[in-house]
Amino acid sequence: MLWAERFSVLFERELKMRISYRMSLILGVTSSLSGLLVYGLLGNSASASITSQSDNMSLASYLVSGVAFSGIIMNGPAMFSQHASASELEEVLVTPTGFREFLLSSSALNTLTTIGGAAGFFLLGAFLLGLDYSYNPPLLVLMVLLGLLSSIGLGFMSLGLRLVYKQTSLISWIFFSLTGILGNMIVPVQILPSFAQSIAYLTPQYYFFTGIRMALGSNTSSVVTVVILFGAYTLALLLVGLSALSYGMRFIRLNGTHRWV
Amino acid sequence: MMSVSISNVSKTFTRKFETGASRGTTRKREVLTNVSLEVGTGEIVCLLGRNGAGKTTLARILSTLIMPDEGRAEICGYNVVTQAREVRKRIGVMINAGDGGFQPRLSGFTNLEYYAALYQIPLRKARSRISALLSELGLGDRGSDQYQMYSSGMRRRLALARALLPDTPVILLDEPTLGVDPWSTKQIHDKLRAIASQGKSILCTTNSSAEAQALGDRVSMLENGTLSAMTQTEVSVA
Repeated sequence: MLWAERFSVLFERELKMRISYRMSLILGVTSSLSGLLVYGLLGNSASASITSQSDNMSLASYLVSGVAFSGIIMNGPAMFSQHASASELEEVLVTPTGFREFLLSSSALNTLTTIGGAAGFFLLGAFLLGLDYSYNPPLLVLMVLLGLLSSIGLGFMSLGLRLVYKQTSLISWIFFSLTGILGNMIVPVQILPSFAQSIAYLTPQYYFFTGIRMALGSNTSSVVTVVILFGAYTLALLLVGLSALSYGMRFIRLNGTHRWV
Repeated sequence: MMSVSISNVSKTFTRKFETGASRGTTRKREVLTNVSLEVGTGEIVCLLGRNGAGKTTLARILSTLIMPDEGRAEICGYNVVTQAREVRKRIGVMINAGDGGFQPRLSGFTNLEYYAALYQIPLRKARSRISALLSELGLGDRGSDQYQMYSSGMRRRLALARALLPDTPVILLDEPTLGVDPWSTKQIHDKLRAIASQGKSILCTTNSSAEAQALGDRVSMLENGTLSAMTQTEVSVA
């Protein structure tokens, strides 16, 4: 069987499942859009902002770009969790299809909707709030691509940890709580205390959101540095993620999917 | 060459308690002890045992889901630990007692189509095979119903259809008729015998001596982690 045919069946199945949960879909879109508008309107009310100097864009433009593109990198830890329930995992693992291929094919729809959602919400927010951006499409595509690869690395890492420890609350907490503040998503790094700025430079989100702002603003003074650092970070996340997943798979083969069978 | 060959397989599970009075302590439970078994071509072997006897653990080892601590297990000459991918091309598996990876909002047919893709069966061939299997297992008119509408017996039959989908030389079944009514059980047994007569090897675990007697060409009893062969008379009084 061709890989493409296998991919299409897995993709179609995800689509049918997603469509079957219509209310969740509507609520998800509505809450995302309202969150985007809240930040945008809040930003519009600011008369002056540090982002005008650092990113060459208004606070509203800064916030809308941060919120709209956040899904690309913030979804990483949970990217593959829905495909790792104990029973489904076992049924997949007894087939000849590789587990990584299964994960990537099954989450392809999720990835596409994340990109589509980011683009859609960003354009809608910019239109509704009348925001101006300076577009650099090649850089934007590159940053989105690197962001997705980082997410895949984080997803592998998170799933590997989940297979071993049966929960991923620590990695989720680090990601959503700590780096939500320090990742340059909605809080400009420049206003943070110096020790917090040092931590911010260690997070992948910092490079992702800084790169996105460079692609949408006109401040591109250190673009090469940001792209190289984020590229290296992405590669490291992918390698660590693959190792963590391999370790997790070996762990469950030694111990059973559950710790106690 | 035997289709299934298990030689001196042992497995111990270790549990570390993280809460409660036993916190910090480790408990070991030996589930299988030097288990050896062979299943020939076209043979049905039933593995009889009580709940917790280690039947599912043995089925999981053969399915490549878990590794034995000691011993050797092979499917069609391929080692389940070191040649897992080759083994997976040669086994159809029914292992989960729960909903077993079926999506409740999708139809039985669509659920099987998904697994056919994972078993790398070409789509056109998969669709005709799914239709045939659903009919043979008494689900022909329910294939388009959502999985959540199925009764527990129908769910077991769908899981069996999934195990038979890839048309492999070895079929591993973990309590295939659990919760299935007697009429459907007979239908399943007839289907399994027909499959075995085509040269497929079937290893079936069960806690029912009646099922073991009705279905198995040979019956082995798994008790306290050790395996012993049973005669028909022993099975009938078990």
